[in-house]
Amino acid sequence: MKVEIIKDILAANDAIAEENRRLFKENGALVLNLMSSPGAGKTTLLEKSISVLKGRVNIGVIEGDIQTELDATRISKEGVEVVQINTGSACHLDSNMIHQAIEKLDLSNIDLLFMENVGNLVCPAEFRIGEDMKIMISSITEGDDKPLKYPLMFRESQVLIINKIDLLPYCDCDLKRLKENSLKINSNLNIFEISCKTESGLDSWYNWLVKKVEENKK
Amino acid sequence: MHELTIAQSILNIINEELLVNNLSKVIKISIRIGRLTAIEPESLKFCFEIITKNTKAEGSVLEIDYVPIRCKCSNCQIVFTVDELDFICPKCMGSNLKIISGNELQVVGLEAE
Ligand SMILES: Nc1nc2c(ncn2[C@@H]2O[C@H](COP(=O)(O)OP(=O)(O)OP(=O)(O)O)[C@@H](O)[C@H]2O)c(=O)[nH]1
Ligand SMILES: [Mg+2]
Ligand SMILES: [Zn+2]
Repeated sequence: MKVEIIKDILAANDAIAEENRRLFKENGALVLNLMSSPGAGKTTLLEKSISVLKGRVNIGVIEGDIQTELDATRISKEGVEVVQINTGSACHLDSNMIHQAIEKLDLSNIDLLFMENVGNLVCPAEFRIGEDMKIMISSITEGDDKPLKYPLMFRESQVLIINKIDLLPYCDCDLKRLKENSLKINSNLNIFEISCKTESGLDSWYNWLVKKVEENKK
Repeated sequence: MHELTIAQSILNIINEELLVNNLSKVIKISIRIGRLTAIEPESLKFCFEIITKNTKAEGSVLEIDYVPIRCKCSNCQIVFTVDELDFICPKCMGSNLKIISGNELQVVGLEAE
């Protein structure tokens, strides 16, 4: 017997993602899904951003890692609410993991929720988790060809943060080509060039964040 | 390696359909995967084979339709296939495009008894 069906394979995940989104909206939280390959600087950028903005914005963090609580421990030093998810074998966060993590957070007290995804340039881009925006980091040490090799994440993200620009003199990474390749995959990308080490470019990132949080409140 | 998660999701959908239609053995399952997704077809087939061991879908054929990326230019309205990930209109060089296919991740048919 042939059965005619058309079903999205990720429908179950997407349904829970919508439920998460509803909860976030209800509580007026702006939710950013932060993605990158391992070590591009997700946690470092969060530490910096939180230390500067925590007086002005109520921030919460969900940390996704395959193992360990190391990143959550780093974030908790900044004195904001943080929940660590250990995915075990999974290479990405999914909506159900987030759904369970939300229960441990006081969402009504959070205006800006960061979800640091598992370090991986492929899989996280495939799974909606209820975020308002996908933000990715590509760091100078990864080279300028990553948009072409891993197009999905560049395609799915609204914001691209190019980190570690302090290392440009030491790498054969062409910043101009990195931007061209990124825009070739997604011409709508909003690009920030930063260094978490020298703090270059961070001010415009902070201003953008504050503006987005304010817009979300309206 | 999220092909394993995808394979599991496909098996879940199969199981629902078997239940609804009162069937017990899967012969073939057809899916559609857009080229924009980050799914590796061979890896998915491998994961599917492993995950369906000792289930009603064991030994079934996973038929994959790999869908090209097609865009429509918002400026001059032409529809074209994106081959080399060049998201640029070949006619007007505009980059304001609507993706009309290539994002698929769907189960589109089931053959079972
Ligand atoms: N030189 C330089 N190093 C940086 C910069 N940003 C981060 N790093 C370093 O890069 C390393 C990795 O940073 P993390 O913030 O842990 O990276 P991550 O993306 O959170 O890593 P995972 O969570 O494991 O995927 C650390 O040693 C940071 O100090 C930067 O702008 N310049
Ligand atoms: Mg980290
Ligand atoms: Zn055109």
